[in-house]
Amino acid sequence: MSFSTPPLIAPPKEDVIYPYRRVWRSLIQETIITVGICGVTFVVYQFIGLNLPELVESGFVLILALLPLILWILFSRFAETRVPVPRVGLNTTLGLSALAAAAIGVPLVNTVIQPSDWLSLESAPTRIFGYMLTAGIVQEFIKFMVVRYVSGPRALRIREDSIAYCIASAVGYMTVLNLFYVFNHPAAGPDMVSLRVLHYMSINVAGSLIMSYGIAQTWFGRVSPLLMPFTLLAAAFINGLVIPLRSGLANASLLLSGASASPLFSVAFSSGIVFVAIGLVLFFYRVVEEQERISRESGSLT
Amino acid sequence: MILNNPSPGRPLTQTQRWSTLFTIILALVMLGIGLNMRAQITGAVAAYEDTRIGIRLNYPEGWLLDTNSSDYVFRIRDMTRAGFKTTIQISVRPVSSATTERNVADQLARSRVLTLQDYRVLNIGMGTLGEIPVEIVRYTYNDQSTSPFLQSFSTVVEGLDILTIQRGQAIIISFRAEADSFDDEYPIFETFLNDLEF
Repeated sequence: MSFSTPPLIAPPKEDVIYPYRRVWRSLIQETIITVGICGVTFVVYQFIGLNLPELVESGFVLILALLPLILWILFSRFAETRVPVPRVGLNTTLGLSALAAAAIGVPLVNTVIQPSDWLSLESAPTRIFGYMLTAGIVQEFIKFMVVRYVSGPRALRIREDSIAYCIASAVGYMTVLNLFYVFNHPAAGPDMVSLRVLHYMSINVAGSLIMSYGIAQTWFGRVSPLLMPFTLLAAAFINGLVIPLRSGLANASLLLSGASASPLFSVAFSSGIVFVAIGLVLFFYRVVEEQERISRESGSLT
Repeated sequence: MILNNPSPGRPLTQTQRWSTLFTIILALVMLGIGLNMRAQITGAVAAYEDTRIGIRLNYPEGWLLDTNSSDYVFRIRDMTRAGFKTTIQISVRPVSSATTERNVADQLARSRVLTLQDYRVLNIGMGTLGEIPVEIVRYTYNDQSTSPFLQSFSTVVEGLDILTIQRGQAIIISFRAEADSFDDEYPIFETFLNDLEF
């Protein structure tokens, strides 16, 4: 007579289907492709000297200006249709941000405040704070208002929703900035347009990510009511910091040894800013989610 | 880990309400500080005094000052402008007791026709600077000295001279700017005149 113990097998783990679109994946994909296309375009035009027919080049420049929007539609908007619980109101957020940028933000900064006219000869700290308190705050505040009052509290179900709506707003705003640049500078070639697209993407994505963290924490965490204003301040500061630094790299500065410009550094700088911003904000999101998980498991979170 | 919003569609919490309000207030305050900063930078002036000639004035701080010329005793130029640099200039010329402001204006017109391309007087009128009667001459010419290294079109310049005779010398205050932006730049000249003492 033999006796065999029943095998101790753990019950099969149920597959939990994540019902929402994974925002970080889409954002990183869009960013890498934008940086890749703009970087290659810049190198090809600056160092190889590609010459395309004028009509083709005009079309290419327009595609470059619309590149962030095209990639957002492909990787974020279409992806929403393939998940069980899609986010609603993303199109409205993007559209209204673009309209607000075209109707308020860009005219207010470029025509009324004109920071480039009176900050160009100031010292570096004055330029940083000048751009922060004018272009930076206008841009970030408009995007915040659209996200806050268009997507609103009902749309925010999980922390990542805040990122999704803030990035939609950023894409709308940067698309308008890109189009304004292309139409106001018809002589600008694809290399210069790709530099500008990268620049606008870096300040908008970095600013919106920081702002999204403030919104998410205010909605889902137990934080001070001053956190959201602080993130607005930080987002505007990033704008104020990046605009003069990038201009210093992209434009020739007059030295005793002659005029020198470092547009390639400008590409690296804009790319670095956006990747550092993604990395930092992703880290902060992971930290608070981990803290909440630990608190929930220890029973201290009610 | 999915963390659902504990209150989707419900009224906002106190923290969310205050946070939104603080954010809006902060943005408005920061924009106000930015506009104030702009006003301070664009309205910043530097003082200038020449006891030899007897003038005291304030001029825009960022403009380039030049007093080292035989043609003028004082000149400032806005070097941030592309193309023709907006210029304010003061010249002093000795005159006889019989010379009038109109004589000086005519003499200037005759000499400028020879030196400035396509120089044309638009109008000559009378006015006052403070309580001092002055002759006002508006003119235009083509400037080709934007950059000797660049092949560029000439710039149409509009100018305005204010002429007066004080203490046996003709004082000529000139304002020159690109014709397209003359009206936009003119308030700077008005501010300059308001602070001018001679």
